[in-house]
Amino acid sequence: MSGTHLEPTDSAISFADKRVLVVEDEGITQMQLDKVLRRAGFTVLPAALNGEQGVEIALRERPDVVLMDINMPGAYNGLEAARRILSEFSTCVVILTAYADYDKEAAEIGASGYIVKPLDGQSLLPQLREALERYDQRHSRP
Amino acid sequence: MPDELEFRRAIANAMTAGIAAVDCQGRQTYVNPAFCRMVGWTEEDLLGAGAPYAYWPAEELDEIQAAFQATLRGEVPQGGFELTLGRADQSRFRALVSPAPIRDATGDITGWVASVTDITERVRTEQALQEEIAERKRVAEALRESELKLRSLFENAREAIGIAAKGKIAFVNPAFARLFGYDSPDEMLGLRVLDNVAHADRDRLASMARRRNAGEDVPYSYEYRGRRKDGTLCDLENYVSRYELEGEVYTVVTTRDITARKKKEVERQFLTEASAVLASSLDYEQTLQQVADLAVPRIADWCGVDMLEEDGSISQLAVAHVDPDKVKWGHELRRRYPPDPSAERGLPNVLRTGKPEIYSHLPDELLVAGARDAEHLEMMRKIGLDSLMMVPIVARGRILGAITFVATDESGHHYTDEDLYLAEGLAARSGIAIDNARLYRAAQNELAERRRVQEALHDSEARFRFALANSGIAVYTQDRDLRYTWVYNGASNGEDAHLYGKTDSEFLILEDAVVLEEIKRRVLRTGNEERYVVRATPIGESPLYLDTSFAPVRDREGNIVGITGTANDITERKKAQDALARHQEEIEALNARLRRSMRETHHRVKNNLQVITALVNMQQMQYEDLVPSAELQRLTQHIQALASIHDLLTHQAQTDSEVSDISVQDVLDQLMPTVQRLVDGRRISFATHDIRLPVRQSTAFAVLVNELVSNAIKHGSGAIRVEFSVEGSTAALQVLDEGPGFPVDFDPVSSANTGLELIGSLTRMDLRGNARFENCETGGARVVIEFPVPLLARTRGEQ
Repeated sequence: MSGTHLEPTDSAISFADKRVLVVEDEGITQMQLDKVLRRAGFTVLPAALNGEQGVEIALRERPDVVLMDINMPGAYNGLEAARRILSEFSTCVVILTAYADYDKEAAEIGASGYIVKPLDGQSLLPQLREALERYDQRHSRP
Repeated sequence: MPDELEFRRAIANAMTAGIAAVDCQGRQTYVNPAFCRMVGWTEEDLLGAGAPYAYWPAEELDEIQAAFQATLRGEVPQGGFELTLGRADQSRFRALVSPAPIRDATGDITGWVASVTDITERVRTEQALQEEIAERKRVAEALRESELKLRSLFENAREAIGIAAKGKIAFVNPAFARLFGYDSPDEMLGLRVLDNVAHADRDRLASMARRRNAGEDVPYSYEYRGRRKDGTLCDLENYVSRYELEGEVYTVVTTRDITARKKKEVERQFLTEASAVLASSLDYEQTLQQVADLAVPRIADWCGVDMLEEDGSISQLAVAHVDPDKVKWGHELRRRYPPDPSAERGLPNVLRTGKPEIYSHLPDELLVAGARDAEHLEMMRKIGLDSLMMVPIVARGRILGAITFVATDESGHHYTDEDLYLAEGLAARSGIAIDNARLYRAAQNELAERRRVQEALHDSEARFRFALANSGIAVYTQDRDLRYTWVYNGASNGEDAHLYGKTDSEFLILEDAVVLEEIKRRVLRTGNEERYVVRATPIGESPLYLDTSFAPVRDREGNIVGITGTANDITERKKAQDALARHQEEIEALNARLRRSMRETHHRVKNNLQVITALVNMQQMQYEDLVPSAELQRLTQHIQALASIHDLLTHQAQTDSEVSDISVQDVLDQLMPTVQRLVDGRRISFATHDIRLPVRQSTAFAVLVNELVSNAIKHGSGAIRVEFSVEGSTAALQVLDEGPGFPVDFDPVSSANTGLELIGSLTRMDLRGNARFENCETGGARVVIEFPVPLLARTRGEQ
């Protein structure tokens, strides 16, 4: 499996210049995402293990993409963390969750993508690209 | 010849007339004895006295003086003076005084002498005679006047007066002749008295005459039917007297025509009887037939009653005629020729307009015009219709029917406005009777209906009462002060009357009474009905729960005067409902827990699928197309490790639907035999303290144990030991083997492969701990995973 293989050439979106923050408390998933994203060209920031950490790192690092789990230990969940991040600055937030029924709520708070686990490396990147395109379209409008 | 003086004295004494003489000086010179007896004085008393003399009464003095002076003048009337003289006893008498002069020899008057005769008796007799003559004249004049008056009276009297002798008319006045239709009194003279009496009454009157002649006491006044010259009959009243003249007995009758009065009497009697009949029964169909029967033949030859039905049709209620056969015939006539409702005249018109019709004389042309066909005309002619009147029966402005009166040539009667007045009176009475009867029938029907309703209500009330008595539903009323005025089924001891006059607060605990009275006051204020389930706890007893309804009670004017209510004791039902509600809540809570549990379970499954996917994905990334079977075996073991966690969750869910943590002991008990089965010839043992880890950490823990044991199997040798211990807030997982151990220069970071990365990632991220890779002093490798005991586990441990 190679980066070339995962990144189609017909898209104007490039992952290479994107800094990504993963907010995920589960080690195996975090490890999987780290491998997939790095291979795809993303610059992967140190992972956050819960919502509070995610908000803290995101506000500090201002990543281009935030992959946000919902169900995490801590004071608030991933949706709330995403809302707090988006209230501070604009970024492409993609919700990653085992729950399939928070999609409307995610859209309401301004998430650009909603990906339901389990995550497959091959299908993950196209979905990320779609999210980034959606994000770009949304923010390029007059 | 006797002495002349004596002779004169004797003559004077013998004279009955009084002699008195006076001289020219007026002195009394002589009075004879008769004069003295006449006046009551003696000769001595009188002689020598001058005028006025004692016998001249003072009141007569002027008249006597006048006569005396006339005498002196020689003017004595023929026969003398009639004067009133007085006596010694003061009585008076009339006297005829005839004076004459006394002359001497020379002819000179020397005195006067007068003869005085007492004429009192003669004067009285003459007066009596004059009075008798005057009386006779007066009587004669009166008789003449009376005769004139009587004759005039007789001739001009309105009363008919007749005189009969020997059964024949001897004398009648003009009124008598007119009464009987004769042109003059003379025309009746000589007629038999009975010729002017109706045949029906002749025997009676003849008998009375005979008895009267025989001296029997016969009524002097009587009524009878007279017969006029033209044969018509009339009602008369006779006053009879008798007198005898020159041996002949005369009968004097004063006859009065009482036809009109009799007619009135008949009518009055008819109306009286009709009224009595109408009032006798409420069966007006029958009474109207009786009224029609009463009408014939007194005021009609035919009488019919027709009713106007609700649908506008006309029905014949009664027909009357003295002859029953003719009644049948009348019905037949009506059957064959019912009245045309659109007819402009006659019965339909009366029923339509409510106005009477009267035909004093029905000309044949009218019959022709009204006949439907020749046979109809013949039938009407056969009736002999002569006069007709129809009057509406009206009550309270509504036309109920009509009464028809027909006079035929049988009676020859022709109706007049007076008859119409009578007929209208009868119709008015009939209308009232019919109206009363109908009202009575309506009232009877209503009464019957009310009785039926009352009986139904009674039955219903009995059923309700029975039902109420057995239902436990209380009903009551309260006044505006919310004092009970009536209670049924209300008292728990069955003595409802004990509640009368009390308020709720007098027998319920205050808290409940306040709530109840607040609702009731609101109903009194708003007039709206309300319904609630309330608690009512009698003082000293257990609470009751009542399904209550409240409604205002109003008087006839609509004023709210109290409330009425029902109370259904639903205490048992309430308890059951409460229990059911609690069950329901429990079920709901359980369902909610189950839903949460299901959701959590699915989430866990998906998470584990994510873990498996990630593991597979990472193997793919590491080995790309050629994944070694050993790695696939390792994946299989991880999957089984995850499955073992699910087994534990399933087992625990039997007692706890919301499993949130898992015993480490259980995890190892479940996991280790599985791992052992995969390894031939290598003994795997484990020892553990027990704490509980959150499910997610348990999963990571299981995968970590699996990974570490797999590494020990792969890279070590001999027995493998797994130990899990807890020291304070730190837990430690150790996996030891008896192999060569880690190389001296072993660096987990630089030696990183997927397996080591996995161990590191799980330790760091899932367990928040760290991993040490070291060798044992006695040989063999040892991997130590230390991590903080989760708060949950510590809490459980403390417990």
